[in-house]
Amino acid sequence: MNAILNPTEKSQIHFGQYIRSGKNPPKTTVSDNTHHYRELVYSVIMDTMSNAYPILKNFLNAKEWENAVQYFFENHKSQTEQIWKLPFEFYEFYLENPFPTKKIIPFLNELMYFEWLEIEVFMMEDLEFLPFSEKGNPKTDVLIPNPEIKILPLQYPIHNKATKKITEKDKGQYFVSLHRDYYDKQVKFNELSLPFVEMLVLLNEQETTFIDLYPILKKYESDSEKISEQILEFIRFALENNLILGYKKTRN
Amino acid sequence: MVGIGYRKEFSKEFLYDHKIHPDFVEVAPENWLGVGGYWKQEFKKVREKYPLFLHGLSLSIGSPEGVDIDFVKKIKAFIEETGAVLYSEHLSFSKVDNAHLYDLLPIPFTQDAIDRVVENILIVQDLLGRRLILENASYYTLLKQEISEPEFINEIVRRSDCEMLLDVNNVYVNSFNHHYDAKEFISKMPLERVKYIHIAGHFKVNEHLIIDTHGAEIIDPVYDLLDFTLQKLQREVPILLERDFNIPELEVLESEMTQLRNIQNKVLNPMIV
Repeated sequence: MNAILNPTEKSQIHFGQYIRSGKNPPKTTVSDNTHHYRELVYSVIMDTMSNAYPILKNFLNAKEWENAVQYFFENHKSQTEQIWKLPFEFYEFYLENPFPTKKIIPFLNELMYFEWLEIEVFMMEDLEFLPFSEKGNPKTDVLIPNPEIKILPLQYPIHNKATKKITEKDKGQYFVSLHRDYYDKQVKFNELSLPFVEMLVLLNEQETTFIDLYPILKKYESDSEKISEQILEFIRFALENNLILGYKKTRN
Repeated sequence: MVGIGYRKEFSKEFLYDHKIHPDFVEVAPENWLGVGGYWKQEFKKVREKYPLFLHGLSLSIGSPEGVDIDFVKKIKAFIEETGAVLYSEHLSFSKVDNAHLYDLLPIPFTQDAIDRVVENILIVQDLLGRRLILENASYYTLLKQEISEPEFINEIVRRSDCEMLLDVNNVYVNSFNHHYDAKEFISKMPLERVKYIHIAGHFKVNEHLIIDTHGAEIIDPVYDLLDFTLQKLQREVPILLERDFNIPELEVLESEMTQLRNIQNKVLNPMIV
């Protein structure tokens, strides 16, 4: 943009800065009405963030939440044309900037990303589904995964424990998957063990059958019978929860 | 033709209960671009049932920094992908200082602004390969005013060769807030360029201010203004009922659409009514 601004451009920039900060209102033709623009825009931003981050909002008190939204809006230049994507910029902003509350929230980033992913997985563009059959042989057929999935490693159990009750004692290793159900297109959550995560990752990386999963569980279990049982248990769980859609269609 | 703004809030009833019978639907492309899953399926059903009109929110034709070329290209692809009948936008700005603000802010009525807007429109029209249809905005105050609103709009339309979406409710809201005669204003519009009409309800804050909320039923003076507009136009122009908040039962919206059709029929087919 040209560095030499005309008075019209200067006034528009001043107006934008006022709307974002609520400070230093510009002189306008009906000064009594200038504040309506700040209020209208701010309420849209506040509603968008409140709808996107209900758990975080509930965890904070009203003032802390308002400060968090206002600090973001004032200090971040929103880049997306699609307002439903703005909560991701909120998350990214607070990865880089201190969250404006006195209390330290060790699981803040994890919680924000978890809440954002629910929106992202629900709204994301459709991915390609390989043709599959619901019937097949779990021990021999190629397993077809649901590609519309995100797996989130966590240090705190934000997915299954009230945030206000989470303490340092809860710190550990958790995995949660968020996927879009193939049939009803709603987002579903599953808590997963590390071996289950590894198997899901493999399924999404390459054509996988029962036997390909064996080396993963071999790291955790030496009894081959138990390994087979656990793989079958994983396949049953994944089919039941729509993490695996079915079996590769064989040509007749 | 009378259409309605399709809202996710009433999607199920809208698609399956047959309580409402619009001739077309309108959506904001920003709410549907790159969306998959459940809403993609619902949107497809809507498009299979009704002709689609697009009404954008984020183009920001009045931005001092110019328009976002990549975004315009995305819009073009979306128009083609959806087979939309029409794409319109607002004569306002919503991005400034490289920050989106997600509201329709009034462009100052100045010569500098006209020059910038015309330049932006020409770029967009060139990229889209079609004329832009721009809506007269509602406004509660202005940053600067060197010329009147009709002069501002007419010069932009003339120099850019764009077309116009005449929002009758916006004219009413502005005439109330800024104390002018709404019919006189409409008479001064480039009516031969009007391709589309919007109508809606609003919220009267106090004796001096109306906010354009799209959150209430259309009031009689706005219906009268539509009647006047159609008398001046003497041709059929698609009319859209906008309702974005406080959405009532669909029967209420259907009844508003019936009233709009009656006005249209009365003006265009006076012998039949």
